[in-house]
Amino acid sequence: MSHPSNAPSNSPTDADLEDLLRVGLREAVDRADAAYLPLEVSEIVAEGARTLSRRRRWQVLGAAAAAAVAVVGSWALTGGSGTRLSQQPATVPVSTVAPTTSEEIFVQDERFGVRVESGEVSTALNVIGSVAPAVLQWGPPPGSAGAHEVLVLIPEADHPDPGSVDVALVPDVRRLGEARQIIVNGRLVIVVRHTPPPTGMTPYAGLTYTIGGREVRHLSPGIVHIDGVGAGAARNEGGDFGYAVRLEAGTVAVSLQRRVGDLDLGGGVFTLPAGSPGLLRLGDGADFDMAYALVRGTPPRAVTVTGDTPSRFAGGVSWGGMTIDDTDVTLVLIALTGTDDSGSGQLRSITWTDADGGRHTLRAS
Amino acid sequence: MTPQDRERDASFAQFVEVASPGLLRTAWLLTGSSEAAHELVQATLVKAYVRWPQIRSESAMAYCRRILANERTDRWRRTRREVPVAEVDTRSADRSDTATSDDRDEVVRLLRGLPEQQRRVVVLRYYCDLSEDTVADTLGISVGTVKSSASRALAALRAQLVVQEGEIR
Repeated sequence: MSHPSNAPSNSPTDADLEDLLRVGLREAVDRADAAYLPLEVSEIVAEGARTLSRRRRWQVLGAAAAAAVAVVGSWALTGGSGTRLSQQPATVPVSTVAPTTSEEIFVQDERFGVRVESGEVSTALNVIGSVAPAVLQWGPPPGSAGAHEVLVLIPEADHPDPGSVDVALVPDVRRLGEARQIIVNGRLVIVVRHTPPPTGMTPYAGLTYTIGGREVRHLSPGIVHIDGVGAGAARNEGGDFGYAVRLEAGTVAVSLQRRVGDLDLGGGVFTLPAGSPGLLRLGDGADFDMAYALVRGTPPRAVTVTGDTPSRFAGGVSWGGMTIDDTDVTLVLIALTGTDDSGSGQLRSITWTDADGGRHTLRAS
Repeated sequence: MTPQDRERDASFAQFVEVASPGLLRTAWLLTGSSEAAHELVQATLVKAYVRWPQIRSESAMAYCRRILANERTDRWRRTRREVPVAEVDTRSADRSDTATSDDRDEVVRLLRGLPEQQRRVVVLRYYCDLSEDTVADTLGISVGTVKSSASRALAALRAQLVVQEGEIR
């Protein structure tokens, strides 16, 4: 592969970069081949068989639960066969993430991060080893006002000469004011306030300081944390920006995990911005068999779903709702049938009926 | 065990033998560690085993690749509040050279600095050599999103290369 530092000095073309990636990735995986652990087919088959067994038990259990609770209204499955559906109690553990308004930088329990007002961790990362800096970058969503900051945790083993620390930012990002040096739990943290970075770019570019007059350089990317709390753009799922995004007051974020027996089917963090009526997501592994919605208003009494084909959910769906404390938001979990691995477009929308009989429709995002 | 079960297990084992090297390599690029790749491929293959009777042999690899991407997404979402997205780069003046070959590979380090979706698009597009349509289908996103993610990834790589070049110069 061509060494990046030998790339054309000004601006490599897309074709250059694509070639670099194609060749570089192949060479990298070839070199890593020796590190792969052998896969034991018998273990995989045994685990698969246990999963099948658990899934069958779950299906039986699910049917029993559906029969035990009252049928909610006489509503029909949109585009389906008119199956009557039941409300099931939700069985996933749910925790809320409070809106972030004020923050506290912390270094403890091998973690470096920023704690939000409620005591929940808004964004954090593990501190790995003692010789590498940890970098946290955060700011408001693109186009919004507010400070952008890079926070750099200096390696534990290093004690830079006073005033020698210099945090480099990428081109087009300008520093605002002097960098602050904060001691947090005995560790040196450098806070640099800066202008918003260009789309897709992480602002941090590197770190230098001296120890006893001897220069130490940490080039980018170091350990860079670009996650946010939330979903979609707020969580940076599109990779549109290279930093974590603070939640604004009034935003409700819910994190959840779905477990069936000891099988973890994943979940996510779903964020409803202030003023937004709701959001709907389809997810869970390859089968897209679970939908998650956050809706505002009185808790839903009935929920119907619309699929991409008339027969998509003909087998029926089950749903459950959980109100989020101190908000007018309800988390709605919908277990779908008839889904496959063809993608997230299988669920087009849901319609719910609130306590006053009002009907609302929410399209999948 | 019925004869059907035995037949199922035999065909699945044959598939694992053929497909696992490619899946491990893709997973390694997605996760950045051989241990995580191993765990990810195991989880993927367990899911494939569960659905094996419904999977057509010619689409089994694509099916597993789709699970791999989704599984990665799920795991990332579950843990990403505390997950570093890039490996350590400690080129201090006096450090001993304890970096692995992974750390030394600049393309991989650049890849690890990318946001999740861009990284997935880059791996599927440029390592797996999938078309934009197939990448979109695999990730459950639009072709436009694939194009924009790839474009942003290339722009980010370009910017990092320029920054590195400037620092080295």
